[in-house]
Amino acid sequence: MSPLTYDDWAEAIAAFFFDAAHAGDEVLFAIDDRSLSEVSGLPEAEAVQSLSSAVRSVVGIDWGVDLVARRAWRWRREGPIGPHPALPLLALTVLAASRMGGDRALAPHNYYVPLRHLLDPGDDEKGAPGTFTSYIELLWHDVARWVNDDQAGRHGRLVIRDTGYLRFVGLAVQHALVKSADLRHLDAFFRRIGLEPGEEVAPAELRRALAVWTASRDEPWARRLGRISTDDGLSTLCEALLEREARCWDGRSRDPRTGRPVGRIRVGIPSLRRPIPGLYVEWDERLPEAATMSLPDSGEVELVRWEGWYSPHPLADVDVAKALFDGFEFRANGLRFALRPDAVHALAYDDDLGAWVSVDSMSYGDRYQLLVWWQSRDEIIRFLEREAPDTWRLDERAVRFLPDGWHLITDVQINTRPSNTPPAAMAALIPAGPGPRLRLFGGLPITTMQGVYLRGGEPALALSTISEEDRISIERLETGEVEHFRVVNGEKREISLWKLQLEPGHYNVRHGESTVTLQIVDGIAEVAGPGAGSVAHAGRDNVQVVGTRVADSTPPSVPITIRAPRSSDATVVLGSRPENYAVVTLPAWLSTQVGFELTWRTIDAWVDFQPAWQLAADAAGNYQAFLLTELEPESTQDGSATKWGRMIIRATLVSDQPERAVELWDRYRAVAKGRQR
Amino acid sequence: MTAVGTCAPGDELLRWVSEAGSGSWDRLRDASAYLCQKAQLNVRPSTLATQLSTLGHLDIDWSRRTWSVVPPTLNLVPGLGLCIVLTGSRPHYVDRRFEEATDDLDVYPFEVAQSPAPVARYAKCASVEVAESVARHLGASLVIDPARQLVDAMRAADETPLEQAPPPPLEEACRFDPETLTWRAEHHERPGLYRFDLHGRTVHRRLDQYGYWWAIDRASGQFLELRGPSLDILRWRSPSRKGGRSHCLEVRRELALPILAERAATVSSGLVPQEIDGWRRYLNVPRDLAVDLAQRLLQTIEVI
Repeated sequence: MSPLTYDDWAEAIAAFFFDAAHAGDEVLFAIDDRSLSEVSGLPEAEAVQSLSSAVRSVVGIDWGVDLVARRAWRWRREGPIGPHPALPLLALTVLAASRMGGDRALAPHNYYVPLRHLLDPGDDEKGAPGTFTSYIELLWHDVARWVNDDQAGRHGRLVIRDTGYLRFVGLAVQHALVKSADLRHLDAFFRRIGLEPGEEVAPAELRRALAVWTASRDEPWARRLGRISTDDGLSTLCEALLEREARCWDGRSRDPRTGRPVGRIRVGIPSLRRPIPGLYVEWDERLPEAATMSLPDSGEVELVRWEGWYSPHPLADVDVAKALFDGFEFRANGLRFALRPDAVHALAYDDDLGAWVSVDSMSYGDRYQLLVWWQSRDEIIRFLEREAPDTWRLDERAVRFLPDGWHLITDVQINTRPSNTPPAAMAALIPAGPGPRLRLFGGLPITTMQGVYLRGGEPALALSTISEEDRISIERLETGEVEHFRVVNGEKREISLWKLQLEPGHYNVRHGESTVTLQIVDGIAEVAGPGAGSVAHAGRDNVQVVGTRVADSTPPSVPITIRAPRSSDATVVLGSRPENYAVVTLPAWLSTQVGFELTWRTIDAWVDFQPAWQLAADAAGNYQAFLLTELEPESTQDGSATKWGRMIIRATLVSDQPERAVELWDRYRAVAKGRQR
Repeated sequence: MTAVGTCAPGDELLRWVSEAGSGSWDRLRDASAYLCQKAQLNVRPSTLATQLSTLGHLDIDWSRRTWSVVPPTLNLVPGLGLCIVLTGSRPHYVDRRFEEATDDLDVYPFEVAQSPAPVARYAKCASVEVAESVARHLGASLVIDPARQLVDAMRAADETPLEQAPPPPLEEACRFDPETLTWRAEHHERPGLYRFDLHGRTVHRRLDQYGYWWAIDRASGQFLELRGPSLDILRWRSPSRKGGRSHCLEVRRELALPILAERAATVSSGLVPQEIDGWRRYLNVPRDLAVDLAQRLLQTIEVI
């Protein structure tokens, strides 16, 4: 392969950092050895060498930065068409910034020596080289103009911040404060602080939370993120970076440089009897249907979508033990798939795969198998003993099949939010307990509105671990009234807000410098919330049933309203024929359910004939007839042989009836006695 | 009216689903889990949600993992003496309108607590016309004899559409034993009904004699297995002569009823079933309804 020219590098850098995936977003021009390798497809050392040669071919070892400026002017005069010609040079300046502090012989803030070394390893001169200081600012601003104005931000935006006393150096340093790979860890950070996609959090709060989150970690990436979050001079930059990343975060991993999705690799176990773990590549709608990927150490693999996964599954020829311990990733054509090296993996059953595979978080009431690293095992067991009694089991036999150091805890089921703080290794799996940010958990939030809760369904408030304060304040915004509460010191720094019986209104809760707002309402929906009645059950002939309503059913006959019988009696409804006979009783049993005596003046009668008379017993037990509908009796048989006839014979017409009713009753009695007209 | 804050978890969940309207199972599960924790109720979150569905307040599509609340409905049920049963959505404003609509000499509202399920709410009306007027005021539909309509709409157990499905994790799955009505882990992969856990609830698969697996709901699966010379699993109990004890349908506690049957049985009284001596007892289910319901389940019913 022929070496990459300066123009080739300009093309490659532009395509990698400034593409449609970044539309409207600020681009972090984070150049380091690894990103150069990804840009060029070359191994890291070769990529650095190639870029250095390409830049040297234009500026020479005397650092004629004016030569790049001239290219840029010419390019602008002629178009501008294609990528900005200063990109490779600026990339080299950021690469130099990423190497600051890497040479123990130099002061950590020394920038120019690492810069000079990139073009000429023997150049140990100090200070800015050649015409660097005369042109470098112009070039950064011109690249920003190209990205922001000429392309109208369609491929991202470049922000030139005031770098204060670091006038020439700061331009590059602001892109190299963290390595681009460091930003991948923000996914875990956002999960840990319970950030919801689309949620707006004050950038200063995010920065403080990041400082706390990284303080307990000793990895190089954590130190770098920790530095930008704690150095006062970098706070503006850090907050801008966090604000941007939080805004873009959709709850799923993506590459912070390219904006492209990062696919997930899951750990899976096909059989609990022989729990031999494998790696499974998960598909989601952001990813292609098929891809050819390079596996570390074992050539290429052709991934083809199968349901929500890629086949082959599990991946063959992968050192699973190493992957579990160190994490695992593979890439090609700008796509990346990754497995995080977590100390606990919660595995849920996947019906498509027929295997238990790892998930991002545990849901209440679901059953999981936990794959646990030995150092976290005891702490997790102690937690489960308190939060999931009698549901789980440490499978001693499983160690025969698992990589060294891993254990399997089976049938873990946590039904409600834990009352104890989950162990650190499980913190990202179970959203509970205090974190760096003041957080609201649970409650009855109304779907479409963030931070709005039903009265009585107020969430739990997990206090910020940043603040040592033992008091919180709750301000009701409508009245300005503020109440202070002291937090009882316990293992779990949490307050159940529903216990405070807050009135409906807007509230601002403060703990130290961390705040959270919420609104409490009695209700919003007039009849039912959006989408009510949209789910139906299919019945016979696909008839749709919603609740107790059957669509398109024949309307049943409506009952009639009649006088209620006395509590211990029944009443009888008669039609015009001897078979039209119905007994109606009071539902006295309902009083037992209600817990007090129900009484009735009227009652419903569900008869499948047209009612003519109601016969009701009086206090002496004698039946009296009340006319319901004027219907002539219809019978050719002897009515006295039927209950219908016997009841008519037994009853008398209630007094003070009109003459027509008296005559009709006489005709019924005649039929009842078998004396038809 | 029961004050919010002192009510059963089922009431609070019903209030929430009524305000939220519809959503994913995940959200419903989280809300249920919160309420279980608040009430110190150690049950699966699906328990509360299923109860709402049984009572006709909520429809859940388990295959799509979505749900929606049922619009408010007043049910005029035979045998309840013009006491209409309120099912479906109960947001704050419906509750208020219900109070207004029943603030009348011709209407007497009352309720029956049945925690953790939501209270059964009734309005005793002076006539059918008054019931219609309450429904109009509430913006609710009035359903006449819902239980009969639901049973008529039920598919027979052997008419339930089946979808082919992947096999369950057999080492985890249990097989339904139709002779003892129990679930057994030692199944030797014989044809029959299997159950296992998926996404926080128990799901069921049927293995046919040709070795194919089918997705099926628990009730249809159980009654298909129980087809033929049957055990004593469904019975109808006649009422006491003076109405002090209601007629009722009784179902062995080990068995599930299909959702439409379950709903028909509960709306007959507006109450969740009582569990007595290994039987679930549904009050105020008329005999003809019980007979038809049993027929749909490929069973005959014993009358006691």
